Amino acid sequence: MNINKTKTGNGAGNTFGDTSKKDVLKNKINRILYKVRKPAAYINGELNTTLKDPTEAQLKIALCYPDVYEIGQSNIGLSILYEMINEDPDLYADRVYIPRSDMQAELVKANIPLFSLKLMEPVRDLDVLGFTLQSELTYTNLLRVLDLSRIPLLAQDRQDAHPIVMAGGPLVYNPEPLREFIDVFFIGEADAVDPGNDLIAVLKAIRTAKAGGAGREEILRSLLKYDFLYIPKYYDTVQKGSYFISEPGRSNNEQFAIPPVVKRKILSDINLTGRPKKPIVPFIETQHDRLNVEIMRGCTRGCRFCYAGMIYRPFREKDAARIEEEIEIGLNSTGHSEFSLASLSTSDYSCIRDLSSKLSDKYRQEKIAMALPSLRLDSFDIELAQKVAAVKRTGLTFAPEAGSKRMREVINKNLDEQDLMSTMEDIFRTGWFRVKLYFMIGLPYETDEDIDAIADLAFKVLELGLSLAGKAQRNRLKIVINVAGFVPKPHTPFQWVGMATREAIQHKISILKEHFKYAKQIDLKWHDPKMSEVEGLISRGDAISGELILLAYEGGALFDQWSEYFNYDIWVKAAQVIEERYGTDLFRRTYEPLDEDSALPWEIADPGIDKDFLLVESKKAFELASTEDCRTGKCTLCGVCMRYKVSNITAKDSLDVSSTASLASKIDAPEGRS
Amino acid sequence: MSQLRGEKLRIHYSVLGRLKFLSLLETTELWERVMRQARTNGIDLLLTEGFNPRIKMSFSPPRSVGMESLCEYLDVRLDLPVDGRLDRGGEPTKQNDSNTANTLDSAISDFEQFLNTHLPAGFAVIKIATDAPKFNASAVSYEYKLFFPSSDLSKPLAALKAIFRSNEEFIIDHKDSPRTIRIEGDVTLDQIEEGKGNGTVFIRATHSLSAEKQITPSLLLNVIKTHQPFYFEVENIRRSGFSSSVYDL
Repeated sequence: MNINKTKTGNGAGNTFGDTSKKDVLKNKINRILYKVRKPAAYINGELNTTLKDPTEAQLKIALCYPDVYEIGQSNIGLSILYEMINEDPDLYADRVYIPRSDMQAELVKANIPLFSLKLMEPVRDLDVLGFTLQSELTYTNLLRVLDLSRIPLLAQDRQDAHPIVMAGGPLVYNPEPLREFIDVFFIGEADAVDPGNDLIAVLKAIRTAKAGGAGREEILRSLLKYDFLYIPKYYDTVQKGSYFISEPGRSNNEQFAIPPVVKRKILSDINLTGRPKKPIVPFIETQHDRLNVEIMRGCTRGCRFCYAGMIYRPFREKDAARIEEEIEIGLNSTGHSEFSLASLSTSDYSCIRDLSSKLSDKYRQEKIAMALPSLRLDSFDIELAQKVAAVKRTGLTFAPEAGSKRMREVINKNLDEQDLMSTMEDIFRTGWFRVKLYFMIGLPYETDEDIDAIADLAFKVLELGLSLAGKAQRNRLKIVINVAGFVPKPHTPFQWVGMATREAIQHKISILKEHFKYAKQIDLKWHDPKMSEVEGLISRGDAISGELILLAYEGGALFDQWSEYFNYDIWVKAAQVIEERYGTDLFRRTYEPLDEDSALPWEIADPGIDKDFLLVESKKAFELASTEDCRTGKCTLCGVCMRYKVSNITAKDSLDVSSTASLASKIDAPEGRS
Repeated sequence: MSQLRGEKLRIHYSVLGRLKFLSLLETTELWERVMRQARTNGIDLLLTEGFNPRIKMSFSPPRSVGMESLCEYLDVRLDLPVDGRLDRGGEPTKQNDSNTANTLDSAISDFEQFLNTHLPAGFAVIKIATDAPKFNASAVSYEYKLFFPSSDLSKPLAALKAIFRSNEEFIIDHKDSPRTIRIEGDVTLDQIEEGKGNGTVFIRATHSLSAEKQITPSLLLNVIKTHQPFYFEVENIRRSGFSSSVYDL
């Protein structure tokens, strides 16, 4: 394939090597900070930032969340990596985010390259730039970060002095749209502890190679021995059907072994990380201003639309004693007045009642509030509601996902309406009068009747609320209905379905609007269907989707996740150019179902889920057949445990071990109990 | 120890370096976090009443974003722990009433140490005092230094002197309407001189917080910007001194 080369920046060169030049840069930065909004986002020095002094010998890594500081700083994954990397004396991690528009303009005006927060050195002078991929709509921001750093956008244009550009995070299981921009993809969980064969080992290998005078080519080649790294440089793209597929390059494959499928790195037991122990406390208000403690990873409920439910398998709970310890250490080191038990589905944690009751009793006196962010309607009850409400009524959001029983069967969200109503009753009785319900529209096999069912459900909840509310509370009662267009994701049973068109989604929204026209106490909110559509173009995309991102970026697309900046027309124009170049209508490709036998670009990365399992699930969706949760039922043969020799871990299993082992000793013993 | 409940402590602190870019709200939040950490580490600080209790704190008049300061003040109220020490682990030491003063002193010194090890670099506690009177805004004035960088110091030095010595009145833009400020009387420009060894020129100006004399550093900068014969930017503004007719810290 042939991407138009876009040269940016001034090329390589360590121009800020000596101290006086560093000071000049610092003074220049200081001066522009007077001119921008929220300068505190660019000054480092927050509580718990690393205090270690950088040395010449260290490998310097800039960790980047390609969105503004307020969004990126709340990310728990990057906090873990920041702490983990900085614990190693040979490595030095710093942070960088995309600056707001005003700061970007000032940087360009003052001719300052994008700098990392603590070191205040240009990102292009560091050794590694690592991105976390959390949303398809941040991909243009990623390009902007490279551009502001004056690092060539295309990997093939980079020289020895440029940093190695890495990417990881949840979206890495379809690396193809970014294959031309990223040097090395880390497939899997970057906090996995596996001495000699994990992220730290990779970074140290880069350090050793650099110290030995190795150039870019040599460094990348030395990384081929890690079977969880995808280095697109060594793969060729071949058109098969409507997709471009990456295959090991023939010329390369003769010299070194290049894996046709890249394996996933898994943290077998989340008790092994225990990080972040001391999360950074931002100066400015961020998305989640609280202590987030991960209590489990993975979910085996098997909802067929759910990407996270597939790529984070197996189900791994953290020991309750461990969670308590982490909360105590975290609160002591941050001064937060709220903590949250983070996971994909918090009420599914096996000891959630004991744990929340213990934590609630412990912190009620100190006026520290507890939040349970992701709750399932069938595992939430009045007891849990009371614990959450003990100090502060933090928000409650539930996701029935679909309004009708039939649709819930299609997506394998095996939730009874009776369960839902009894949970709602519990919530109203505990004193909540604002409930948020989240639904998806445009799911496979959905009809207008299924949309009507969402409205019916909302009215039933409202009626129940009104019947339970006192006179004074009636006016306060609010049911927020949040709907978003369904975007089929790779590695899920719905990866072959066609996405609903923007017009179809808009039609469904208009049905709901009509239903709620006179319902003052029901607040209907919807996600912009145009944004969902662009997300759809990229999420099941390939290398030409990458070219689309580049074209859109060059056309001015930036901050696509922000409705005030999102510009749909740019993307439409970019897609037209792609069609002219390759004859592929990306919109049509997204709307049409895919052939089950066709090769799929994202199959280059292997999260561990068998294709056969996905096909069976996809057929079961059509037949309205349910699949059990493998925690409580029999094994669903999804393939992860067998392929990666891991297993579900419940806290109950692990309590016996945790009671004797301390936090430190378990971190030191990475083999753990797996 | 009941007589120590609610003991008011006035914390005198400085803000230097990059943390000058914290706004009032961000500064307040930072203190809230650090004080909460102090609280979980055994320093009992009073909370506000209400649904979402916070640390009871009151601040001296706010500093502008981007301004360093050597004279910021913050009041908190203390509930001393039983043994007067921060570390509540181990054996509590028995105290009697005659030791109250010592207990308070040692608690304050521990508190100061705690703050200075837990505050981010750039914030430093200079002194913690007891028995401080209420802030009375009308009786408070601040002294500022404005730093201008230049490779050739003689030019800005001469220019600034010329501006402020030849005029007594300046018409400047102030938000919606132009306004006149009188330099003499309103602003004491007792020094326009060269900073020693740091390649800067600084002006020292005093401004009172009373309503009719709102001559802030930004207004002064406005004067300079309008009248200076060539362009040079301010590099730093620092609140360098504090005075009050009521008390002296």
